[in-house]
Amino acid sequence: MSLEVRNLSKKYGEKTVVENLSFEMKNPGVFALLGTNGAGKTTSIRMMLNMLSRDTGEVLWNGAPLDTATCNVGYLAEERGLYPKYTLMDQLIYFSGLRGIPKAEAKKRIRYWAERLEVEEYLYPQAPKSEDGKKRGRAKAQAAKKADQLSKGNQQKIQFMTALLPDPDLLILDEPLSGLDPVNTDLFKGIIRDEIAKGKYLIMSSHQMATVEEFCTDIIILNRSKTVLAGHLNDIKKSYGRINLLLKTETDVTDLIKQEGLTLVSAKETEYQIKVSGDEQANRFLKLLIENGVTVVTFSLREPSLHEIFVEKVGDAHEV
Amino acid sequence: MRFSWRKWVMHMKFRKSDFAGTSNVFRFTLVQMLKGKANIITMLIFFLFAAASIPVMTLMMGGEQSTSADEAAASGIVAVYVQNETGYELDLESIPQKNEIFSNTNFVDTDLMDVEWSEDTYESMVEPTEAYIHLQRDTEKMSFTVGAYALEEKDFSDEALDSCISLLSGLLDEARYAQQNAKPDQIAALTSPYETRVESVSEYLNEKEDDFDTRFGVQLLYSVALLILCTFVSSFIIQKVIEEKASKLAELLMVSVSPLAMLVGKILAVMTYIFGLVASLAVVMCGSYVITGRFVDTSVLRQQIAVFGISLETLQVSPVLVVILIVSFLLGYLQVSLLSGLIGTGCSSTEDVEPANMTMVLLVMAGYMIAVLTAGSGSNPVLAAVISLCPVTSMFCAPVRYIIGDIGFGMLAFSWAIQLAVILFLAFVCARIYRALMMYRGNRMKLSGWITMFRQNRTKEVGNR
Repeated sequence: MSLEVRNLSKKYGEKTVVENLSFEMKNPGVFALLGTNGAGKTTSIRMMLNMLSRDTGEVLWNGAPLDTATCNVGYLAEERGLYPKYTLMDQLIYFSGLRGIPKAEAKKRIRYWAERLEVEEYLYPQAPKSEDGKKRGRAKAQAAKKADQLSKGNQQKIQFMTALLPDPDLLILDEPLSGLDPVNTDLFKGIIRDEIAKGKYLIMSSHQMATVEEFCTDIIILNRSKTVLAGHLNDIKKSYGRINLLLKTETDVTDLIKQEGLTLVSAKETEYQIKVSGDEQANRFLKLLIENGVTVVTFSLREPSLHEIFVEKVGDAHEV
Repeated sequence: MRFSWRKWVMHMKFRKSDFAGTSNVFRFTLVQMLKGKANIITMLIFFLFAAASIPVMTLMMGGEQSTSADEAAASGIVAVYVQNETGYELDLESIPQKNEIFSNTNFVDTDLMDVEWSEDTYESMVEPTEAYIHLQRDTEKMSFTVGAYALEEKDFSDEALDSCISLLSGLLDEARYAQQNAKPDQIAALTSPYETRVESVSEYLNEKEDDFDTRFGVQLLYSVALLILCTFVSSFIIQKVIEEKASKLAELLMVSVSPLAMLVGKILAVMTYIFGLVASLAVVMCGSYVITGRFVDTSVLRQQIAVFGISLETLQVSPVLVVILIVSFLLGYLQVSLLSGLIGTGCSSTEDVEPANMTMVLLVMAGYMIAVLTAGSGSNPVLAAVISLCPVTSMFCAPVRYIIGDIGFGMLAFSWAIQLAVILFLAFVCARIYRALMMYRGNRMKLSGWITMFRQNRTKEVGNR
């Protein structure tokens, strides 16, 4: 299986919202679609799924135009939505039915995912039990829960479930972890890991760079409708080289840093974060430190983080 | 790419995938409507009103308790003894078919030639609910006599006895023609009834007024029914569409189902709900009418409706007419519901429900007002044709004008064809811009916005093919 996006473009009047977006997923894994607010991520996803017409370009799944007939797609939209006044079970069975899943099979899958996402109590209301754990004789079962009776996080779990119910080959997650508490974030991450292990294709749009780094193999960064960076994450990092130096000493070395012409990013007592141009400059600086009799506690060189790369590429760090 | 109407019309066709998922949307929408507490309460109230309306209206209009005599025989005559001395054989068994008021009357062929007649003999032989009819032939004068006899204190009206005489005279005529080897159609032609009328100028003018009442009454009845249906429908559909948009479900749904299927499923569900409700109410009202009729004389209701010039005879209700009304209702329903769907999708929040509803109500009211205001205008053929063919007014006017006789079936069929074209056009517009409208967020879309969106989407669709 493979996914290929070729030259997707979209204009609203004179304003270009996506310009020649292209990428390819030849193997299962997670592809990250990154960008500032309004960069065109969600529009690109909507065009990929034929929700918005595109001015140019095509999206191919196994060489054929992508649609729900040719590809089993699961989608967690950025705009989370559920019918507020209908029961959750009715809605999940309906969404499954729209994807061609028979009712009996849908019920099995709902049961499975309800357990995984820990939302059974909202989908399978039971009669209240007495203190000894037995059902009260005349107690009525609780009414089935409706969406507007759930917290935002639990609603998000139900929406994630709708994306997972068709057991999709291609799972598109638009900001999947936004608004979740740390416990539920881990729950979602666990499921995403499982899906990757099953050999699924995932496209993830997120502002949480640490999460993207955790899962993604390939990324694309959009800025004001244009692609500013694309490729394999490790290759991108390597191309930047080891430019971050974490230094801890026993004495103040600020003068030496200035003497060498390095950029001091931050300093906390005698712990420094410094920008270097590469390994050569770092070695030279280490030599200078030793020559000046400085006791070096920590000298650690590393590649830039995705956050740093992103900020460098799109500039407007405050929007991330 | 420049927008081309010609190219647009050439590509005006639907794909099978446009309707995939319709049945799921239909089922879900209908089930949720039936489960909705507000809808359940509304239905119960409607059923209660429907069941109570007939007895309450009957009593308010002065309906009296029905008697067993009404049920026994409409004519009041239980038996008629017929003495036939004409030499022609009369088919007495056919009488109940010729006039239903004699359906419970027993016609007995009698031979009382040898009886010596006196008032006492007659009283001893005939009951107050019985009559004796004597048919004779005078061979010299070549004439016939039909004599009818009943007790002074009889339990039926003179009119009933007159009707009985007329029927037997008619039977005698038929027997005479048959003996002259006349064929059934010739007999029918010779004995067909005719109506004579002698009336003053004022009476004649009053009748014209009755004609006006009938036209206005029929148009008003049909228009009000359609207006109620349209108002309900537009409100339901707009609410359902905006509910989906305001709940931010559009994206989730559009991964699985085409936008047209989303709308068509809803339209069919609302149609099933409303038509089912109307049919159920009709059944409840019929049941109530039958049950009420067992205790109270319900004929006052018919008389009251007849005040508006409407009666089953005037309307000439037949299966064909019922089909015409159903087709007309369906076409009207589909036009209003598709337009409501489009208008609803141009809104983004629940605050827009009211203005969207108002737009539809104004449109439907315009059609209604034109229909009602032109109802009494007489049978002006040009006006009848224009309002029967023009979209919006046609759904109100065409079937009524056909029933009244202002337009023929050809014109009605042409009106249907135009309405069908409007429906197809609206469905096609839905198929092309509904997706974009569902994704639209912002102020309620105006007509100019619709046109721009349609032209943009259409151009791209054509270009992408």
